Amino acid sequence: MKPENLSFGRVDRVQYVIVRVLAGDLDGWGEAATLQGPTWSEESQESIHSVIENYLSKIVEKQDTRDYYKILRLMDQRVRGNSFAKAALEMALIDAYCKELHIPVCAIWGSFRSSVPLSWTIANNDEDLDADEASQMVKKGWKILKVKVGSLPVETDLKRIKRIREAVGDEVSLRVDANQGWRYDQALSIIHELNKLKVDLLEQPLPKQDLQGMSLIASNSEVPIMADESVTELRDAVGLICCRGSSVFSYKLTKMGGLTKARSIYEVAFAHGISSYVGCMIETSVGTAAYLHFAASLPELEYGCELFGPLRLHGDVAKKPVAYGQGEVFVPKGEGLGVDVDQKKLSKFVDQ
Amino acid sequence: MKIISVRAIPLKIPVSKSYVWSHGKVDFFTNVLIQIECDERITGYGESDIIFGVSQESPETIVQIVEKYMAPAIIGRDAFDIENILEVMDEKIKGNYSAKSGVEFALWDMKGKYLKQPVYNLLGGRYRDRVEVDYTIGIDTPQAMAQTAKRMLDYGYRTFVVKVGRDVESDVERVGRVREAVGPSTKVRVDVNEGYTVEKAIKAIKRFEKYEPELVEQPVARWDIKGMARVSRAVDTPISADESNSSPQAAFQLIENEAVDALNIKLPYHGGLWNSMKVASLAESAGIPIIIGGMNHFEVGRQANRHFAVSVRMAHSGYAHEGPGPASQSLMDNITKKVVTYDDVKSQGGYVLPGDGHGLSFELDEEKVRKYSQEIRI
Repeated sequence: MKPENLSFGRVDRVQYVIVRVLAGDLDGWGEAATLQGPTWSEESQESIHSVIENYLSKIVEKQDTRDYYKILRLMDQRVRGNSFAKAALEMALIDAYCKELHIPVCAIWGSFRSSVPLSWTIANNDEDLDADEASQMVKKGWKILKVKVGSLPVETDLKRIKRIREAVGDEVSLRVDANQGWRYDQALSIIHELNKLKVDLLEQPLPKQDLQGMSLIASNSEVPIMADESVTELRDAVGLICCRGSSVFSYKLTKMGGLTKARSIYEVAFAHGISSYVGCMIETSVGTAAYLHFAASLPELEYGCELFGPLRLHGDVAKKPVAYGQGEVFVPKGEGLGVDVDQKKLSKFVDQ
Repeated sequence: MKIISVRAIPLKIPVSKSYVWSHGKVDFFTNVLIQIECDERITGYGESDIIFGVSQESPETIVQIVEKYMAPAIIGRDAFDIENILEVMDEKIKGNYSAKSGVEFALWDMKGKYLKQPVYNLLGGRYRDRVEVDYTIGIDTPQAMAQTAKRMLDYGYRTFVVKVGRDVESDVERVGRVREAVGPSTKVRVDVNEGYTVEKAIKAIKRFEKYEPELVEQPVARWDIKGMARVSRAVDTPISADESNSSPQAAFQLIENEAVDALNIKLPYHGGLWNSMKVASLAESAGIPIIIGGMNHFEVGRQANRHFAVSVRMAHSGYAHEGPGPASQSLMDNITKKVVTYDDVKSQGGYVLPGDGHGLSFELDEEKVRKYSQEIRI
């Protein structure tokens, strides 16, 4: 893939677990993507694979896909945590279930949109490269950019953001993502500068457990604070809402344990006026499709999405990859996830 | 003392009698032995322990995390630099504290062997010579639990942990029968292992109080810190946290929310001895006593608990410790040449000794490691 410099290191490769469920004469596909090992959360390709093979698959076997809610409950009772593994399996179950019903996955809740505005991530850790890439992308029609920060000194990151803003003008929506990389005082020292630069979102400035810090930053910031790593479970969402730690949530199916759980979080957040954004772990077209069906079904999706995985990766496993327009991505049509896996392409990427 | 290799060896040893608690049934222990070699021809051993039903980690994930991610991150580093290695591991690997703790134990073991000192001498020295231990009674009929208590009383145990988490009525009977069996001068502790809601916990604990429990552990779900604080305020009995105390950050939140009167520290939840020291310091600054909790350890993990328990001041506030004692779940065999037994507890009058051998003071039984590594395929 095109590399990204994130607060925890440089990522130039994504590791996937692709799940296939056979149900009657139908099959369903799911995916969990991880950034070079257990760097983003405690789960890795290896843990996801072994938890599915050794524990989750035994729970799912012989069950009816129509009972996927019950299956989720069983998985939670017998396996703690491991939300990426559960999400990948749930995706496959729901894909098969919707194929059986001849409906697209988003039809479970109903669809609100056929395409989603798309953000591009700038993560070169280099002022010149960042500014160049930003203006190129804007010329190509992108209207939202997200800058990754948190591994360089705060002043250097601020310079990068300034250069990007100068390069693209004020019309482009510019967001900043620290991936937990700042301390409280660092974040506080920069938020007013970010506001002056018309940054319209600051994502996960502080370590995920630091709700009090998030809440203090949020109350001092004109830039809305978005929670990502801090919101993985419904309980986290409730905690964040109660302490007013963020006004926007980033939804990711894997960190949240799947479509069903992400939707529950959305309902609670929506009822409390929390805005929405759909994040990603740089999925292939399979995972991206699942995220898109989720995004399509949200009544409000104020900040769009970053489902650019298939654009950023040097390969895909779908027969027909997810389709992109100018600064937007289309929700796949057809039954289930609406994406067919090309087993030949798949086998090319399988490492033993 | 440059690290040259890191290996993870999964092991499985059955128990002779199934052990039942609120999270399920235990028929065997599966843990992962960690073996680290350095260029001084010293091998350090640690153990990554899990509990099915509580841990998010499994033997499979531990083996892969240790061999695939931790090994490359720490090979070539000086085994003395534990604080630095912990940071490197945390940067490259989120969570996975049990996997990290096994590696960390092995580094301490190696450091002690190199310096020809027991590990407790590197952790501040012995605060006490020996550790008071308790005996845990798994959920059964109240009568059977009382019988077990009576039997184990003869081995010198002066504290019993009664596992509950069923309906209030039968749980009250469990606590009552055990109290009756052990008499008024023995301590009885109740462990709910997250089995109650807040309201049920308050109701049950108020009824337990007639039998004077020393404390009640983890009455509600691990995430419900505010609920735990509510229980804590509503009853007279001290409340301790175990599953909730799942990371150094979690310990801080428990203290901050005044949710606990005691903290149960399980070394693997916090990533090993050094991080657990930090948690103990947090507890000390808040004036909260700690208990060294047990998991389904083999003897290597128990030795780490013993060394920790003799050297940490807050571990000696009148509470007995489960982790340093022999496994109360009738583990059939073990992986070290010498194993602390019930008879040892008896001869020490309810205490165990950490031993004075170098490192974590055990000698590994390689034959048994070979045998029990064949019981589990990963």
